[in-house]
Amino acid sequence: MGASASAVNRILQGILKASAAISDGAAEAPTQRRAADESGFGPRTFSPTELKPDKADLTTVIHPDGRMSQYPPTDRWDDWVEWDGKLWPKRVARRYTLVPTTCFNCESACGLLAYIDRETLDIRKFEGNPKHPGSRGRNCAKGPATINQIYDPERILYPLKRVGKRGEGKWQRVSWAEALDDIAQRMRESRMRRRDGIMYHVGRPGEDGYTNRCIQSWGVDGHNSHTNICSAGARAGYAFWVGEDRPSPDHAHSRVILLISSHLETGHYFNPHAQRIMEGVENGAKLITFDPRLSNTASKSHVWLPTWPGSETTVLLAIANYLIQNNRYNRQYVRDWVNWRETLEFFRSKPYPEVDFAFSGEGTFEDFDRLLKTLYAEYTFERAAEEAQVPIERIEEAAAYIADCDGRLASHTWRSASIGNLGGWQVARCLFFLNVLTGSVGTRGGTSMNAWNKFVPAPFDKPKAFNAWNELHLPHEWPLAFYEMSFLLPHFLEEGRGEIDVYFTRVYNPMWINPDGFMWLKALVDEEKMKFHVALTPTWNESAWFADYVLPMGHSGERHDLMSQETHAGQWISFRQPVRRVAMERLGKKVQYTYEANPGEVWEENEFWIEVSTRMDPDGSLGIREHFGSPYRPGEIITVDEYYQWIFENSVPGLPEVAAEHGLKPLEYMKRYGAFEVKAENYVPYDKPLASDGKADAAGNVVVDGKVAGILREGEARVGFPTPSRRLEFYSPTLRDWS
Amino acid sequence: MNYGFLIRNDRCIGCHACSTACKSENEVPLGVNRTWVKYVETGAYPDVTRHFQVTRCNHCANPPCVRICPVTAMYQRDDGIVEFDPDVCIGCKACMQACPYDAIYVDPDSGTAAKCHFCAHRVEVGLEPACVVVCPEHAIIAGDLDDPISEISRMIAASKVTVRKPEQGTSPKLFYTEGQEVTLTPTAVDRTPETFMWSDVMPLHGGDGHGDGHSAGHGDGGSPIPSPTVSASGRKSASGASLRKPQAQGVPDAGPIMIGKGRMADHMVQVAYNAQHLIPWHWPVPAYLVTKGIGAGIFLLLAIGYLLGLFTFSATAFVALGAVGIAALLATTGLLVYDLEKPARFLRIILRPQWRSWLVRGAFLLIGFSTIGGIWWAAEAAVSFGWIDPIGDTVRVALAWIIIPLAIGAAIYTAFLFGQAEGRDLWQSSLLPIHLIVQAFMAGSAAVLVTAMAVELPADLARVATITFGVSVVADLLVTFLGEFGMPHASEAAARAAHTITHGRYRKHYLASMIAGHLVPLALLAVGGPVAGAAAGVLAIVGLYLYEYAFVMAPQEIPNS
Repeated sequence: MGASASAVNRILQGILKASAAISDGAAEAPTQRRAADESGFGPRTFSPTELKPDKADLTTVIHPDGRMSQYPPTDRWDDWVEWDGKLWPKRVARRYTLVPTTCFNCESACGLLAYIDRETLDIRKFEGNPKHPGSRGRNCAKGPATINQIYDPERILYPLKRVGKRGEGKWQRVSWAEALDDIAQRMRESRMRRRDGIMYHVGRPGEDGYTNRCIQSWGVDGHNSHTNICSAGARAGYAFWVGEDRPSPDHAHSRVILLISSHLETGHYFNPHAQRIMEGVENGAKLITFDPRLSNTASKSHVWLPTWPGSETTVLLAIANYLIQNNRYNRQYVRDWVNWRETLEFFRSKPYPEVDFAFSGEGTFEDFDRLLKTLYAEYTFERAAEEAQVPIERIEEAAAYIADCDGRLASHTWRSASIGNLGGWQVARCLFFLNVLTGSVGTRGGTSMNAWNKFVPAPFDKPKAFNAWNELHLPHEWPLAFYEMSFLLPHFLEEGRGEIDVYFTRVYNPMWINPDGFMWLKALVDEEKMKFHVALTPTWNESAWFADYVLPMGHSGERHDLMSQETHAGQWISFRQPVRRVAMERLGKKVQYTYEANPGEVWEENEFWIEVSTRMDPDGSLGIREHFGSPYRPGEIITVDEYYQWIFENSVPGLPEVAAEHGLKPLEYMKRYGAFEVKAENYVPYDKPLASDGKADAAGNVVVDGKVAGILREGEARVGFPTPSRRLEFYSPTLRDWS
Repeated sequence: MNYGFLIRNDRCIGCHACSTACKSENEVPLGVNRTWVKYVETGAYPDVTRHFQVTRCNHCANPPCVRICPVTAMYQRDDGIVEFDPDVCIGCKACMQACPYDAIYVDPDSGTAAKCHFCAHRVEVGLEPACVVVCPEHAIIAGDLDDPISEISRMIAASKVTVRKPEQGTSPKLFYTEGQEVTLTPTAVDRTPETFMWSDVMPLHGGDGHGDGHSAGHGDGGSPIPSPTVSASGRKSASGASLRKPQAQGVPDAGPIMIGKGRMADHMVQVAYNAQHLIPWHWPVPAYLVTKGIGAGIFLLLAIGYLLGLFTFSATAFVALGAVGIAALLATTGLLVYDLEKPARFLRIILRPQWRSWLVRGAFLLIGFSTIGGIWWAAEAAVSFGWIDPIGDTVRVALAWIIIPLAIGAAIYTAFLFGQAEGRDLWQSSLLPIHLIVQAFMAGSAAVLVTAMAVELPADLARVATITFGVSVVADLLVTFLGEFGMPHASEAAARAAHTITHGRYRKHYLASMIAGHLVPLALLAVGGPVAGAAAGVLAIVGLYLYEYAFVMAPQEIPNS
């Protein structure tokens, strides 16, 4: 009844008004004020402009798939006028300044372009950055959704200090100065006492080395990661083969794409990879996917192998066995690059009596071939089909495609089958075995390694290595632990192995992400063991609830970071920027700290770490402060701008020259364009001539100062791989020595 | 210039980037979508796959939403873009009924219709639509279909492409490569399964405050498709093969595309994600049909009876019954305005009419009818109060002759409006005008019988009303059984909607209407007497509402996407 009455009232009132104004449309009165809230955070407003959009010469990005997409031309990014889409068809023009930044909704580091109202400084939207070599102006759903994070009404705007018991949920707003002094003081006290009392526990860092440098400057063993419940297994599988720990497949040019992942929908590096996977498929590549779920990727695959979890290695070895038994593997490649002589030496002493491969004793490649045929004979398609519970025809089909890949097998596994499973690391090792057998390592259309395609420029100062070991990170009884045993941290604390003076969590919610959340809860509330917990986070999460300080940090458009990822067979860097700060600077406003441009008192970590590090060592007696001196203004503390200015001027080959061509300084160039391509292509870097006059021994090893520095191929010394043998290690002496 | 889309299903990976880019570009509120990716899964493990379909406005060459819009808030531009103007829209939701593709929604913030507008604001300055720019796979191609060398024209020329529901005569300008029938055909999958991937299923009827009586959340509604059964007829062919029983016409077991048994876990055709659409029209629309029928019916009865001399003219009776008729017409207008999302803008139907729309034509018919009816009634009332001299028979005859076509128009225009609702096949019934006339006589005479309890009517008038009532109830039954529900329906959507009425969610409404609204009143007429007559009238009016409710609601439950 009430509803009906109010509806009638509404109608009557409306009728009265309607006669006065037939067109009562969305006559919004845009204001130039920010919201009245002191935080400057509220409903977005956009300002009217007398200017009108015109048909500019748009930036056309010609994609390899023949598509052209169009973006505002870069010379108009400062001052771009566009019609308001929401108010359309009313022609309301908006005047924006466009600032590039880097997405932070996964680790792909795709480019974004923020549209910032020149009057109100509100961000209208995020589009792709056409100048970004990895994402090439395109994004996944998470890119444009960044706007929701920035204007999330529930985000944290001010530093909060716990006032009740841990987890009681009572908080007090404090000033940044108070928080910084308190935290720095505790860090100082811990550092004075010991070198393993501070722990920075990070999930996805979203940057390349900035924080690690700070931790190193503190002289403590303080870095903990989430990697051991994430990529560590796969990393180990790759590292023992090739000395680098992540794959970088060249999907776009491959003949066969083999995924133990779902990179057409998730994961690093979803958007850049998905683009290039479909590009490869369009160019005729066959897509093979191992995924127990009917994922989008599985749905798009030519061959979907819904392998029973744990059976992946068997299926991979069955494919390897097919290549080996039928001599479909690249014998020349294996002969050139695999440490088969070392392998045969190992087998000379008959360590496994049951492995009888009619060793001639001479150690020829034929011996090795026989060894392979003997070792893998048991991995039949039948066995694989039975273990994996998939139709045998599909495994055969996959094997046939791989046999025909012609050195262009792009393979990838990141987490999935290799995460947290006993023997999970072998999934990556067996997968890469197929790359080795087909000679698809670092080739065009093959699989490169992360370090070949990821470019991490050096900063202005690198603190000396310190002599410290945190047993809570890497306890001595696990010498082969690949990355910190971070998921066991609460158990270590429970066992009394140590205690933590200052614990930082960042992009990390251990209570939620680890399998035993209650164990973490127990540790987080234990003020004896977890003495002090600082959560650095833009929004609430389960673990932040149990912190002593919750410090709001910026989202992707509110912070500086420098990133690079091995998205394809090239190298690039991408600059994450606080877009409103850059916009304000463009509009002639002075900004000293990023938080001045951010909502409320949201900081960025770069500035936070400078502040906390210098406050930790006010007089320089701990040797920390010296690592935060400005390289441009002696005696002063470095600014974030100066930090990146130095990198762009000194550590990125080609950037100063390209910037100069644009009439810009390197930092100005990066602020304007947000990304830089360091190398367009980087294939088979291990085949580069070795710049050394070392002597090659009979086994083809180039030895310098008693260590293998390269290998001989076709009579020339090559740099080889970063393994002890400089070869692909089919047989790993490292594993032998440590286990 | 003739803009259109090509969605390359061969490239689409179902990532929803287009959905969020559109949301961001056009600030589309939560809960509604201008474009989304429908997921349908088919097959039996391990031979299963998931199909993706970017789903949105087709920018039809012959857009039914434009034709039905009463105020030109939805319009087709010269360049082929179908655009909308929220400042003009009155929120009648007729466009949502006209769209056979579920492309239009009501913006929860503005209360006006909205949909994909091809990013016209970008296209005008040379930028591609936001969805095109963001797509990691270049699976969306926007361009000029009239330009033979445009990328979209070349690709369409060289590919096998499909469109959604070409049989609706809309000429969709959104093409799909590798179109999948199970994805293209909305009824191939349940409209509201129990869950979607990563999203809750909303109650189909929503909680919009209009309160339709059964808006509780459910996953059982939607298109009630019978569980797949193969029923043996018990008969055998000459060769001895067992024969199956013929299925119901137009309502195939397990949906229009039967893959194996369909829809079963061991041989599935299931929707894994789809945008969800609330039913736009609720109780006010059937209620308006009833009040309009009463108003039109009373005046038809009075005018025709008077002209044919079936009863002597009684001023008292005329004023009383006319008052009821005018009250019903006022209620009709009130309901129409109440159902608008922007009721304050209702005058725009008159002030900026779009004459192809039957909402406009109907509004003017209603106005004309109410005006003449009002004048006549006012004159007779004034005479009976002695305020003016009696009006002569000449004037009365003229008024009667004028009001008859207006009353008929007012009664039946809704049939033509429903006929414009390209998204509701059941409504597009050629019997509907006849049905509405019959219902008007039924409702009008029922109202007379009820009024007779309060006002003494001349005996001949009461008798005419009783006879009219009896005849129209029987006629209504015939039209319903021999026509609307006896005849097979031309399309699966219509058949399925009819099935929903007779065997599904609205079965109770339907049965109650037929029994309590028709058979019982006929029995009461046989009993005779004013009280029984009045009771019969009340039951018939309630029954009519229940019928109209089912008839309005059921077709809206059949999915269009």
